[in-house]
This record gives sequence, C-alpha cells and structure tokens, in this order.
Amino acid sequence: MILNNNGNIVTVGVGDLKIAQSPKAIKTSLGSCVGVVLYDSIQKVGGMLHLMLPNCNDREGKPGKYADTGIPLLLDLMINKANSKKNVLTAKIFGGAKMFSVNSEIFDIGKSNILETQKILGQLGIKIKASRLGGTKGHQITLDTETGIVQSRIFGEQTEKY
Amino acid sequence: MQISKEHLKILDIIVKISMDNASRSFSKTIKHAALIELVKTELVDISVITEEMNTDFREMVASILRLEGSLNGKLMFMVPLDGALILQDFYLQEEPGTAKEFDELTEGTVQEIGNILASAIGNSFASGFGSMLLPTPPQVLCDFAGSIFEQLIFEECVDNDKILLTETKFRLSNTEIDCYFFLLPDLNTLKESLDKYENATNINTCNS
Repeated sequence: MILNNNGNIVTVGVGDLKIAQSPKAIKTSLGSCVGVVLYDSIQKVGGMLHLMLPNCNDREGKPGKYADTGIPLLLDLMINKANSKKNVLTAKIFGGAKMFSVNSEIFDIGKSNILETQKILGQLGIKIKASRLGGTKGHQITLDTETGIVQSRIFGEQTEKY
Repeated sequence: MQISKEHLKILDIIVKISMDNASRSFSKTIKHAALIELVKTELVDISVITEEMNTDFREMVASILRLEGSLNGKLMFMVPLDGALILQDFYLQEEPGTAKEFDELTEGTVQEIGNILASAIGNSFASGFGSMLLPTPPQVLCDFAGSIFEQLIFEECVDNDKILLTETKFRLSNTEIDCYFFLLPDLNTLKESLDKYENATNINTCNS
C-alpha cells in the first residue's frame, strides 16, 4: 500500500491506542469501528483509540478492541503517561458506520459501538465536545495535537473540522 | 490461533499456484497483462496490518466474496478508484479514458473481476485439496482503503488478535495501476483441509 506516514504522523490500527504530543498528528480510518480522541489543551497532548466492539465480555486479547476496556486504558495513558489532568481532558468521537446494508447483527455493530462509547465516557466524567457518527461510509480522522482540531473526512463528502 | 510452519509452507505454495492461475484469468478477462508483483502469506497482528492500511488514504473500489465448501474464507479484490475506470475501459474494450466517473458499469467490472479471480482461486484450491469450493455473489464497496479492509477482517478480529492473510499485488503492464487481492482463510477449515492434503501426500509418497 502507499504509505503517507512521515515522522510527524502517527497512525492507529484496529484495536490499538496511541498518544502523541505537538507537533505530531494522529490519524486513522474507520468503518463500523469508533475512533475516540482525548485531548489535553494545556500540554497539547492527544490520544486516539480505534475500538471495534462495545464490550469485552471476558474475551482475551487486545483491550483496545473494546469500548469498555479501551476507553479506560486510553484515559489511564493520558493521565499516567502524558501526565494530563482528567478535568482538562475533552473527548471527540467519530465513525460507527453501517457499511453493509444487510440485516445482520455483526454489520450493525457501529450503532452499539457509538452507544457504548457515549455511555463509558459519561461514566468516566469526560465531556464529549464534538462527534461525527453513523452513516454508511467510512471516516478518516486526523487529530492535530497543536490545536486539538480533528479533521474528519467521510467518503464522498467534504472534509470538516471538529 | 495456531498454524504450523509446515502448513504455512503448503498454503504458501498453493496460494502461489492459485495466484498464477488467477493472474492468467485476470489478464484474459481484461485483455491486458496483469503481472504479479508480490504474493505473501503470513499470520499478521490486526493492529499492525490495519495501521499499514490506514496510512493509505486513497479511495478504493473493492469486491468482497466468501468461499464456501470444505474450506471457508473471504476474498477481496481492491483497486484504486481511478484504476477501476481504466480497468472498465480494458474490460469493455473501450478507448482508454472513455470511463470518466464511477457508475454501475465500473461497479459491474469490479464485481466481475472479483468473481473471475475468486473462481480461479477456488478452482486451484479445490484441485489442491481435492474438494469443492464455491464463491458467493460479490458485494462491492467504494470507500477508503482502511475502512474497506476493516470490514474484510472484522469478523475474524472479534475472537483473534492475529489473522492469517495472503496478499497479492498485481500491476497492470504499461500502466501505473496497482490492484490488490486478499485471501482470508478460516483457520479451522483450513487446518482440516491441510491435514487431509498432508495425509494424501504422505500416502502417495509411501505408495510410490
């Protein structure tokens, strides 16, 4: 594949989470998965989680795959590794598309991912500042850690800033 | 998820033979040489492989099919949007540059190429394993590379952090078009088929 990575761009894969500080940007592409962005405007540090399922349900494997284990882990990284204060953190969430128009539960997982993400962020006391969710097409998101602005591009639509 | 090194080697050989057959069928269909640039079969970490895919911001058209029979799995043919238009001209034997935008003809072309590749691969696997394999009707997706790939591997990622994936890259001669073909075999049925293949080969070796 064509690699657009350079030293200042950090890419996040499925079930993974990464944090980075200004001047770096963090990006990912989403389908039915949800991208959770946490941002600390004081330190100009951002974190991104690419989750694919709402609940771990005692499954083994990467905690970043699930909303209920991945979001607390991202918060933990921001607090304990980036030394962010919880009360300055804001969240932005993206993705959760229904990519296939079939009546199959597994392909309608986007909606469950969105609901669980909103619920867990609420339980953790993190304010959702912006979101662009649902639809039937993929999302590409890029967080600029200098400004906290997330560029969101949905296939076939204009890039928007959140 | 477990697959032995021996099984991986056998699979790699069958995949290479399959891709050789597939490339011939592909070239014949579009009346233009499709050259294999890369074939690899490996057990990959889902975060690593999708990170690689997510660095590719191109818009793609993909045809996804399932293989059903003694070996189950998923196949995906993926080509950049601009490349799909050139493929359409080749397939319909039009002058290059005739197809200007993605429409039902482009979708049909990608669907048909997906079908042809899947049949060629299904036939090669079936003759290798001595069993029947049938492709399902294809579903076409037009989206970002990373978003499409995420859908391909989604079900396998639910219970696994690593997936067995074969990736083939074709280059259409005298063009800048790269096409990608992915095969995602179901590990349980693959193991059964490889065990049978291994046993049959051992019996033949003992008899000769």
